[in-house]
Amino acid sequence: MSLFFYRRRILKAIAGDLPMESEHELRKHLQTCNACRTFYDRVGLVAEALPGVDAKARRREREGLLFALSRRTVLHPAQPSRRRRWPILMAPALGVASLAIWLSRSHEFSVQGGRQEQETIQWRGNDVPAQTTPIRLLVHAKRKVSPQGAPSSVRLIAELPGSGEAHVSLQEFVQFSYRDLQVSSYFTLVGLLANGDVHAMLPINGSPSVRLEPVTRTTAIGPSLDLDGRVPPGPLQVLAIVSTEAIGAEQVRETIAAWKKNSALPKSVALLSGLLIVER
Amino acid sequence: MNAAVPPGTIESFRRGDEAAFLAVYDAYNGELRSMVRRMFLSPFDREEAVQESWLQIHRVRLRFDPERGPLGGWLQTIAINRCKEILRARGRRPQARDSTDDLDLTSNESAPDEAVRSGRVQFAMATFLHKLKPEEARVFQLSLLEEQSHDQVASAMGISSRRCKYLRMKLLLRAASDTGLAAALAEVTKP
Repeated sequence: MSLFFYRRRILKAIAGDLPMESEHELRKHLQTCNACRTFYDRVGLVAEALPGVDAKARRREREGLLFALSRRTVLHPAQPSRRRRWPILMAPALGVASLAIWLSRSHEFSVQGGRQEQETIQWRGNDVPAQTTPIRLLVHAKRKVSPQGAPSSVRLIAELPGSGEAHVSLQEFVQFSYRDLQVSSYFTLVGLLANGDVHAMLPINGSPSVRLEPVTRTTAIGPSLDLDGRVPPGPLQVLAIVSTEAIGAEQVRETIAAWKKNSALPKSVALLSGLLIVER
Repeated sequence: MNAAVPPGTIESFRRGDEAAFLAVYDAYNGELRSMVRRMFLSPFDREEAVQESWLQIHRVRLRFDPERGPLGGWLQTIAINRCKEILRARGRRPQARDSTDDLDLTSNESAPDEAVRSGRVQFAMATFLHKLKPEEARVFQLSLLEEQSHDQVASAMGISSRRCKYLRMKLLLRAASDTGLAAALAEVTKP
């Protein structure tokens, strides 16, 4: 389609006269076409200063958001692919079975007067009831050097379990911390690189695990980490291993192997995983 | 962020109720937009960033805990992080002057040189209107400056609604192509 065609559409969109479906298509085009985008920005800057256009644009913005939300629901429904649909079909049976097992066991990570969270928890472990959250892991990042000496802020990039992949730069320090731990536990953090190598992240003193005291507030685990020179840019699968007893290097290896094969974890060990995308 | 939403709205918002989400959107979008404006120069980028921020807010709404702090601050943090992610994805960081740490979102005070700018805009606008035909000048005034609908403008001027739409588009393009007006307006809209 010609540039003229798109320019006409851009004018209509900014004037608020383009149907929402067409505007959505136009926005996809603008993501990739610099010429049209420059034109959009040129007209858009003027339109922002014209009250009649700007007010209409604000209403369109609201409609656009609703449209995007509805598209997202249609395009990305909570339907797994055909290959993974069987867990959904099995869910009721598994639920009944899990409940029976949970009731029959005495579990070590019981909730002791704390609040029980019923969110999407991704824990799996031998003795950890699926409904409780023994720990929450927080990942913060901070720029090593601020641009032009400006104060750099600490940003929360992930909260596990729950958040999706997190992006972090090699130009940043990474700080891991935890909260909502109900019982005193031992903690080990390792990173799996794309080539299969394992990078020991915490503790940094070479011992296999560090002891964490039960707290509800956010508490740092060790010092902040500098990933530069230790891990290459790319995906880094972070595995947080939490256990009620101190574990050795052998159990850490077993846990990683169990995670890779999706098999049963060593006794009294729980695992929390998340994906860090390391950028330059 | 000082906007307030009706009692009970926050719980419905967390549950995913659309009306509550829109109530939150209506209450906070203005402040969120003005914050996003300071991070993006291009109108297209701003619009995308605002929408992306709200989509992200909708996705993670369950994580908001009213006991830990006000909704406004939580929304602001998500929007800032989303904007930074967008900027980072493009391979560049926000410049020092884009730092959001010291944003005063409550201040409505005008910049000292605003009067000068507004005078420049008025002059550029008058010059631009002078170049238009009487019909075009009237459509510009009613539709682009006074926020009247196509039908209202059409009935006020005795023209068809279709012609009004056409003129509105044409005038928008002419205004953007008019160097003097575009420069004066851009000065006002620049973050």
